[in-house]
Amino acid sequence: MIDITKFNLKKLMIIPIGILVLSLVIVSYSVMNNTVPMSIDFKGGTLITVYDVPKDVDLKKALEDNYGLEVHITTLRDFTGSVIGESIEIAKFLTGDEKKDITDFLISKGIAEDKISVQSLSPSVSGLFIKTSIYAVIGAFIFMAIAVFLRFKTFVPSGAVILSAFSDIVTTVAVMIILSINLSLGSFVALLLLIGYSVDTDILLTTRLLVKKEKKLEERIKSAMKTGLTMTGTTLSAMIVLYLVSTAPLLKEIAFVIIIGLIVDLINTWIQNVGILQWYIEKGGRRK
Amino acid sequence: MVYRKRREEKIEELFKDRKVRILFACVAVSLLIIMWRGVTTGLDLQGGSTIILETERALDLREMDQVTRIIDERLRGGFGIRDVKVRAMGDKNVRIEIAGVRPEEAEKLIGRPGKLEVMIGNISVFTGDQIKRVDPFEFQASSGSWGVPFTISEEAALKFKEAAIVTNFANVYMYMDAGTRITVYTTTEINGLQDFLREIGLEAETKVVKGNVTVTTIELDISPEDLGKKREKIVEFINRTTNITDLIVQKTGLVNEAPIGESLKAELAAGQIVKSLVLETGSGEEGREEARRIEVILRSGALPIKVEIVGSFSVSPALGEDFSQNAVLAGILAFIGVSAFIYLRYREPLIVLPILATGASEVIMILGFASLIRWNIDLPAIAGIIAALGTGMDNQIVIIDEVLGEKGKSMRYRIKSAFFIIMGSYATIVVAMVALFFIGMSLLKGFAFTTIVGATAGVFISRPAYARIVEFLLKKKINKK
Repeated sequence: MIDITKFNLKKLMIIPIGILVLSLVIVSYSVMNNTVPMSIDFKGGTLITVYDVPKDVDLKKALEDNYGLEVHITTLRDFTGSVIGESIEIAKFLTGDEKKDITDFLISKGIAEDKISVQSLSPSVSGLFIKTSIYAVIGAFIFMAIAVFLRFKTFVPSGAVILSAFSDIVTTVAVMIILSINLSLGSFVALLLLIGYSVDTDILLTTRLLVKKEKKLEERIKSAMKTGLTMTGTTLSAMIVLYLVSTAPLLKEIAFVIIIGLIVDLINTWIQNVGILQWYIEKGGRRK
Repeated sequence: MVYRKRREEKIEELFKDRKVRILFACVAVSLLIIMWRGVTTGLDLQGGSTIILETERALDLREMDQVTRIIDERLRGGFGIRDVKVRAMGDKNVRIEIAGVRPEEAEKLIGRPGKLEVMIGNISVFTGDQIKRVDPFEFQASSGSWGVPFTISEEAALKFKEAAIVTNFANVYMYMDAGTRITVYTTTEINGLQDFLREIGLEAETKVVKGNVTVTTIELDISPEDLGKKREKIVEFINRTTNITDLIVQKTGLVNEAPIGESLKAELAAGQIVKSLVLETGSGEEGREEARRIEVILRSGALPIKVEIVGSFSVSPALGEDFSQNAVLAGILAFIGVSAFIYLRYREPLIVLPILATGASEVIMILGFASLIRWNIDLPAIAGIIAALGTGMDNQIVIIDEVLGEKGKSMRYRIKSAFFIIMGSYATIVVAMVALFFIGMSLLKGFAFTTIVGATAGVFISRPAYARIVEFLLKKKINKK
């Protein structure tokens, strides 16, 4: 394990702060230019997921030729890498009849009726979804912040925990934008989970550093890090397995976003938060 | 260094501990509940459709209630007794969940007003358009029963009288969106039936039910009267391809059956034409609910406001089955992955096994609680279980590290200090999820709910017991150090 106490953490803090600023720029730029990649949950349209497609069928071409629709296809694979299906995204919100038409067409191409799942949302309702999801994350974040503050009752350490959770969310969203991973209901669930996991390691760190003062600070940081990395490691291993194995798109989305978030959280907890706390303790701001 | 007299604890003492006993009791009760009531899965795991409607304008609570009730009634009438859930989502949207129906079919049904048909015995008396007026349901002081007053046209009233007398006052049947179900019992399978039906211009759903003999059920979207000659054609076709042992034609969509009351009988028998009727539904809360339902039916399920379909989502039962199996597989493998990681870190089976057992106990308790209050386990709920488990594992690692790391401190102190961290993380996750539960629409509620239940069960039931077990198992190991 890397011994972070050997580094000058106050100087290293430039890294997480730089990442946060860059992430804020990326996120606000994308939001202002409306280029945040979104799934149909949030931008409306139709998503048809088909499993067990016969090998020689080119669905994209078939759909474009027959319906003149703009179609975007993603291949779905299981963890062995073999193709299990295709997810067909159509920007247009299709009516019941149009959907039935396309479903019948897919069946005629040799896809079993019960291997087709259709989801369609008009932009009006997807707008409602995105609004509610954003409120939910903000609401959850505010309540989390209050709970953290009540726990430590001192401004700097609570602020560090809250800042770390905030950086986690913003940076994870920025990474998703860069990798063009769609923002969806699933990824919002993941961001909420991330708040929980992020706070878990931060509370551990803060408690170990501030409440117990028998050992040297470096010792405490090292022991907190050992525990914290184990915590992140278990969650990461569970999420990697979930990402590789699951076929349900919702669970896959959640797993992937959490994997990104946990990696981001490593930097924010073990460089940024440790740095802040170290500075705070050296300044004498310890608990009695 | 501190010299202490080592006190060897016996395993019996561990099982006498109150915390350990509570955990065992909770797990046992959960298992019993699960075995007794089973765990119901959400639509995304059992197959079905979700439809989201948007009303023309924002509705107040009473209007929204009316709209959801009407839709509920229409769907139940139109598709028979199926699993239908209609819920308001804010003041402009309605979320409908139906198991086992493709969204196109449901959309078609909601899109048009219902077709109400009233029969006495087997004589068709009038249809919805003959009902001139329906009054709100009210309590009938004279009979002590709830009822819905309504007025029918002159023509309908005349037919009503005639049919009542001809059938010697048979019961009155109400059908909503009536269809036909033909059940054919044959000794062999019927081939090409679907194509044949399409050829003669019938939209039909055919289902093959196999028992000792082959049973084919054909559900047609037309009334038995309209079926007419086509029925003969169908029978002829089936006779040609197989040998029928029995064939039953049933009318579907029955929503109410009631006898004609004595006083009305007397008036009709005396030759009077009665236009103003009341359908009485009985007393008490049950009668009131039924009256509300009848009012919706008599209004032909017409919605008081224009609605538009703004979203739909469907998963076939086969895909739902795949997802459930896959989720279980993913869960098991994730569990193994976590165990492997924890083993690599501590290299001590005494540590790994209790963690896994505690994790499993938490999943059982979440499922038991969900089963108790009939909470559907859908994909977001599975994500919630994962979240609760993840935090649970984190907490257990904190306990172990505090117990192993704080050399020279009493065991009580170590565990107390672990719980200081655990309660902090519990408080934050619960407040965050409570916020989500109240803000988030029905979509994210399952997630928030299972996370709260799991985290709570973990912190108050399984983790204190876990700490006790760790204390027991690791005492020797630590004292040796």
